[in-house]
Amino acid sequence: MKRMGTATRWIVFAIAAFVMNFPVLATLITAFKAPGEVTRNPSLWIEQPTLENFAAVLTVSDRLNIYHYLWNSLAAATIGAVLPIALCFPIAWAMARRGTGRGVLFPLVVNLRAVPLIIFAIPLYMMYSALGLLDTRIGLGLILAVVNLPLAFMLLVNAISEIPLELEEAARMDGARLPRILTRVVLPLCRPAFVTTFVFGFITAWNEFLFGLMLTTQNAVPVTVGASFFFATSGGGVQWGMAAAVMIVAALPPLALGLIMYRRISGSMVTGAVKG
Amino acid sequence: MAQIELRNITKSFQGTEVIRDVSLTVQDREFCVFVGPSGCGKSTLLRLIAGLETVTAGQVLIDGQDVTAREPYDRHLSMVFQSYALYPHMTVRQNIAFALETARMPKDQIAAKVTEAARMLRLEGLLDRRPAQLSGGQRQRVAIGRAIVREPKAFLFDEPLSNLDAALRADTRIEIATLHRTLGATMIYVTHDQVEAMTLADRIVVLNAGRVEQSGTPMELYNTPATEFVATFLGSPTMNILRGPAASGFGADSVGLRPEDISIVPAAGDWSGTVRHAEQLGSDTILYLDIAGIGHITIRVPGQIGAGPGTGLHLAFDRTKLHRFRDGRRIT
Repeated sequence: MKRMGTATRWIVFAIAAFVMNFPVLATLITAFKAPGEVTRNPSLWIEQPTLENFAAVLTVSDRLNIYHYLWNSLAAATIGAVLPIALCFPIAWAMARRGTGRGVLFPLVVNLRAVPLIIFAIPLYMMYSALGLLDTRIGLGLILAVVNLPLAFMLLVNAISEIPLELEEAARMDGARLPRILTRVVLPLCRPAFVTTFVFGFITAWNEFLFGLMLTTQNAVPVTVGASFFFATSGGGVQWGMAAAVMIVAALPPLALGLIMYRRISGSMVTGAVKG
Repeated sequence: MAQIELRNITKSFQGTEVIRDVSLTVQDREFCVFVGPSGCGKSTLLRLIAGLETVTAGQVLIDGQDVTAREPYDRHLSMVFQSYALYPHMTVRQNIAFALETARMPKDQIAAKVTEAARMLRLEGLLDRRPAQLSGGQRQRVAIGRAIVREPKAFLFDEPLSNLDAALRADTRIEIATLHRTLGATMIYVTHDQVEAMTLADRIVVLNAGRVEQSGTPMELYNTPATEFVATFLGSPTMNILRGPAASGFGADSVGLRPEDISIVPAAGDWSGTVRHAEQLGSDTILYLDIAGIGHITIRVPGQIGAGPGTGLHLAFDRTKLHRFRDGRRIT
């Protein structure tokens, strides 16, 4: 009876996983189909599996360089994920502990998330043009940091609020001043929140398309934009196999990061700090 | 070690006064216990001394120096928190050494001091563990170790035993008393537990609604409570308070009698009553009686008395042990 229940659970789980991941599976399968087979055989069965599409994607040509796009994305997404953490940590502490700006600043920053990003497009383009940040990895990274700021802020304010205040008071009694309290007590205890913020921020920044399209042309083109260049390389319509392959390649880094960091995302550092 | 003086301390939170004009002096090497019911302001008073809260009015002096505006780290006091407040990401060794590292003490001296504190508190085998791997009692000892290693001017304890079970609480109480004797330190200890207050204190300060009700040695407070509040707060079972004709006969609004000052007599004594409930403690028996014209009375008699509910008893009390109060204050 118990075995039956377990089997049913697994069947339901497998069906749900299949349905939810169907687009990913379809893309993955298409990536392994030869160009002729893609149009002829729309099923999930591959008649003649081939690495031809991946080989084409991974080969550097005069016009296309996937490694360049990946490097641009890596650099910009890292800036876009790390910078908000560095900026938000001291601000989040001041808000969580001193209540600074809790009434106005917090909802204001968090609501940035709700604003459509396109609203920033024109002033940002003009500003970037004036500052010489157009088509630079730093420029792209900076705007991705702004995109990630509300989430980082929200997660860090919550993380710091959850650290028992008595730990900071104990450190004050132990002779520590604010910088030491922040670096030796609060910061280590925020590590799980940093990991969470970094992972979500990196994935968001990596997948961002609009600003990549708008603010880059050649030198800092991220992989999301660069991938679209592969769709019609020969000018004879969309190359679906190659498009699928480039999408798979582009999706791998954030996917790997998510899988590696998954267990660290929900960990708590404050066990044993206070009674219980 | 140090003398700590509070001069006319007042503390308000958003317009609500929680400490009202408190003045007191804790002498050098004294073990002073702040005791009172929940919300009386005892922990707030301790935090004001520590510098974790700022005073609204008044002064805090340590060894005659005004430290009212100083940060906690400039007051050279140690505090043991109710919830231990151990750094969870550090080992026991790192927890104890934290204050010394903050003071930039040489590493060999830190190691020696940590070893000495660990020996004193029987933590030698636990130095490389993290707080999450320790029992409640062990965590509390680490918290005490973290406090003593700094050699502060005075120790502040904020209900340090309230999270421990009864047996461990008794053991740790003895350890704290021993520590006080060994270190010869000034200690201020906050508790709501009158047993802790009576057994540990050189001097008890009873607080009520942000004011000092009475301050004195445990026996002074027990034998001559200044107010009805102190009389009923200290002592277990609580003092019997009689009002109305029973009190006015003694020229008071109310009179108090401790349960152990009322005895059972074979023939008619001062009162006769019926047992409502009996509690056998082995060494003593506590009897709850109904007395016509008086009301409920609690008595504590030595030994094991086989009186169950409904048993009629004759009672007498020692008039020299009677406490008389008018408007809640002791009549001398």
